[in-house]
Amino acid sequence: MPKLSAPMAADVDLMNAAIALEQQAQWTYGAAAKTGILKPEVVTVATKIIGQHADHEKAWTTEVTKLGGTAPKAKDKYDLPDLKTQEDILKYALSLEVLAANTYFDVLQKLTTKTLKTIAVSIMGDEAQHAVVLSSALGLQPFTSTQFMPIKQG
Amino acid sequence: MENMNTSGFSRRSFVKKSAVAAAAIALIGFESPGFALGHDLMMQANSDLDIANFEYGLESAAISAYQAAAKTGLLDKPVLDIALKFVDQHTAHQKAWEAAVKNLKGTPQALVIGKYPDLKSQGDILNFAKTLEEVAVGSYFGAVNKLKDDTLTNIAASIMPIEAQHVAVFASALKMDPLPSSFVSGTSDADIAKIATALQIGPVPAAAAPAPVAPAPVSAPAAGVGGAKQGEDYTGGVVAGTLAAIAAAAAGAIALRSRKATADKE
Repeated sequence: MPKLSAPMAADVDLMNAAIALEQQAQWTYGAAAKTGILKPEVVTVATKIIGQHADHEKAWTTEVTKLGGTAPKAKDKYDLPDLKTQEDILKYALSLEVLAANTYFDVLQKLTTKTLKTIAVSIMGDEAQHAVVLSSALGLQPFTSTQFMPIKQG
Repeated sequence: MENMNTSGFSRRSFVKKSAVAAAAIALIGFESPGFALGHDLMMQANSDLDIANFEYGLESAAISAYQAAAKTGLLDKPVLDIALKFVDQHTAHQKAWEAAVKNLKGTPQALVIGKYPDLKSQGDILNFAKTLEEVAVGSYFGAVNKLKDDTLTNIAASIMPIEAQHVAVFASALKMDPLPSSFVSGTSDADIAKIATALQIGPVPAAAAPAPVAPAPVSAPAAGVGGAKQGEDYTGGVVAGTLAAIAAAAAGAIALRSRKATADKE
């Protein structure tokens, strides 16, 4: 295995952090769907969002592997706050999406190649759109109150 | 929970939207050199200064488009409220690019839409707004890749998701899928150039830009157009007159259409 240059190693670390977040998101939505608390149409959206987070994870894993790095394995379980109602779940999911979008903004600035920044911005756009859907479902303003990244919603 | 409908993509609205876009694009061929510049600005924007100025121009065009839409009286209050909040966001973006252009010793060049498509209903306006926001997303996606300076790249990156949210809001309002793609990239460069041409997006010289101009009544003569005498200052009068003519034509085209009895229903 060729030794990674410092920038490449740093990029791998950043991508692995993104992968970890994507994994947590997929698990969280899956756990939420399993509670039986969510209405069917909300489960449908959650399932779709899981699929998109899986796509993000796959894209980063591909890039990590190209650079000779190793992507982290998903955990069996992630922390969850006490979620009693659909609204609780949607609020928590929204907070995760906002965190993901804002983390991507940080990650993008630190990634060292245009290829990786381009992937990051396209994923960041998707997380921001997830936030729109969740905010709408909660009856909140669907878009951020900020003019630029980082976003503030919920 | 009406906004949870991610599989509510309407084939009928897609077909209609494609037809509107195709009709708009079919108008390519308008000979005015001024209106060709939007396309050229897009295709030739290679330097950081060119890209920053194009984004400044696009944000300016978006602001004037929203203001024209607001003036139609076709928008329900909640939609109008959202449009005005989007204008605030676009204005902040416009200011950021204005500063970037000046920092690069350039002259900020606002753009306007010279030819609006046929907008007879709130649905039409929402579709048009979604198209413009997708163009914005696409331009920023491209800019992240093309900009050489890191600070400017980060500005583009900081704006892109805001526009992506605008797209999702309009998609939801149109009962279309707000999450069509895991990777959001907006309109491609080639399609942005086609749309810029079809809408006759062109520059407004700095002397007359970018403050919103209340559209002149349709019957008022466009002062300065073709009327400047030899020896007069052509720049101020002719530009102001041209801008008023463009705004009047746009407002007239939108406002004087009679409303359809029903908007495009799913």
